[in-house]
Amino acid sequence: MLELKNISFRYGASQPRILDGINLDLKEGAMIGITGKSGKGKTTLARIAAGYLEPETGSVLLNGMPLPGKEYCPVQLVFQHPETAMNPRWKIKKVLGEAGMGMPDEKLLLSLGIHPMWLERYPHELSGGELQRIAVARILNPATRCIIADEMTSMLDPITQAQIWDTVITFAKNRGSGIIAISHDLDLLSTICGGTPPFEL
Amino acid sequence: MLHIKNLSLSFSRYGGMSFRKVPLKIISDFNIAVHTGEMVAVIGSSGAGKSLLAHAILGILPSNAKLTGDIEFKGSRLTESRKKRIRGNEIALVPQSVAFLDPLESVKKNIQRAAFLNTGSTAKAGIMMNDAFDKYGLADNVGGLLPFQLSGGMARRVLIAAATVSGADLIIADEPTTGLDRNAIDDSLRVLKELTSEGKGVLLITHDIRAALKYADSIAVFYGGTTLEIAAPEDFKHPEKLRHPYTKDLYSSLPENGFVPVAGLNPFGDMIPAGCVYGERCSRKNELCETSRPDRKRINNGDVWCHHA
Repeated sequence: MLELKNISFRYGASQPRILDGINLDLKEGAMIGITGKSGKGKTTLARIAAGYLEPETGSVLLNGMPLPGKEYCPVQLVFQHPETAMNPRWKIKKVLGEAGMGMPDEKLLLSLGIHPMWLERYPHELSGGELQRIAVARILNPATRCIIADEMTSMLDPITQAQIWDTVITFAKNRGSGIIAISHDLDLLSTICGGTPPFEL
Repeated sequence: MLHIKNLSLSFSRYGGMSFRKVPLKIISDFNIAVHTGEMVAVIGSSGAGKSLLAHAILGILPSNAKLTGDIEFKGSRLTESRKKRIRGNEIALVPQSVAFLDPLESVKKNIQRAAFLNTGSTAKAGIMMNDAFDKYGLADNVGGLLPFQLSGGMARRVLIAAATVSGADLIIADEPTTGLDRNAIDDSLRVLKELTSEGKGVLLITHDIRAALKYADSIAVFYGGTTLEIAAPEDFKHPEKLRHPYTKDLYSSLPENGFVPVAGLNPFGDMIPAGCVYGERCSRKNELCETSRPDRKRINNGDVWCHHA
């Protein structure tokens, strides 16, 4: 479904290549873990796969086609720090509707433990864990074919982590979406990828 | 060295539909003790007020904060004026990020200032700083960098170096592992652990349970603004030895122990229930849990605050 072909990248012409000839093939309903030390380009690869960055060489193909430039991107990235991924002047209600897919249904909000009271608040009035639930709810809609979780739960406590992953994995299973999980936590990757060893950058 | 008894912290803020100030409770009946040569970890979810705990001990809370309860340091009461006098020389903070350093001064100047405040002599401060650079594996060229130029692991070592040259006996480390890879986590915690063998006390505030279990001598489980259990790290090797349902749930929610989620939310501020703070999510909740806060019980050399223990 999502293919990364021979991806290379460098920040600036005089900089060394941070990614060099990376190939990945994410099948429908599959989960791939990616790990690697700090500074190895994990987040850079995530941004390339979701269309935020142009690779120096290679291509990102979804079902054989390049990612759409303007409309909703079927490859969605969940960042480690949700507060940097939301408009601070928007109420949560508006943030949730940003995807243009209408409001997420109540059942989904409930399974993520999102309190209806939060919808009237601003991002800075919620904690990191609460905001990350919003960031996840925002992308769990039928148009999302592939979820890239870049250290999605590394700032959260284990119970909240298990809760969010449970919802994301259930969604992906029901819809046949693919997941790329990026983390330092090898136990986490091994658990969500059913024991398959992660791809190491 | 440090004893905290029934510490409560609230903020007054404008809220609701009135123009009156209302208190927002963040921490209630928090208890902990840190002894000489010991590393005690406070583990809990992010956004639960753990950092405020550190700020409360150091007396750097904002002016609308109201603090009650007893804090004792080296045998006598830690009043606000005493906090002001001894912070930075008897108690030091390893903050969450380099944002706490002077952003326009080099790493060297930042550390040297901390050492100077301890010794009162530029020459001595210089020697201390060079020792700290050696000890924490900071290359000479790091000294010339500005705080924002440091990588995550390096920044952590600089912050720890700055805290130790202050000569403090109690080091409070606030989330020293966030954003680091496993090697860097081990690196920074090993450095903190070494301080305990020099007779210092370390209070480690973290949401990284695995790191806490590996290095701390005692684990305080923090949830909903209070302590639910104080356990030995070994207790987590045999989950049946854990005393509080929350701690047990925490154990089984780790990826390697089943990855079991628990429905509901971490309570915060005005969402914190009057009875047991874990009541709403607990599988053993009954009427008593809803109405009254459990008192401390001593079980197997640990403490627990649960009606069922």
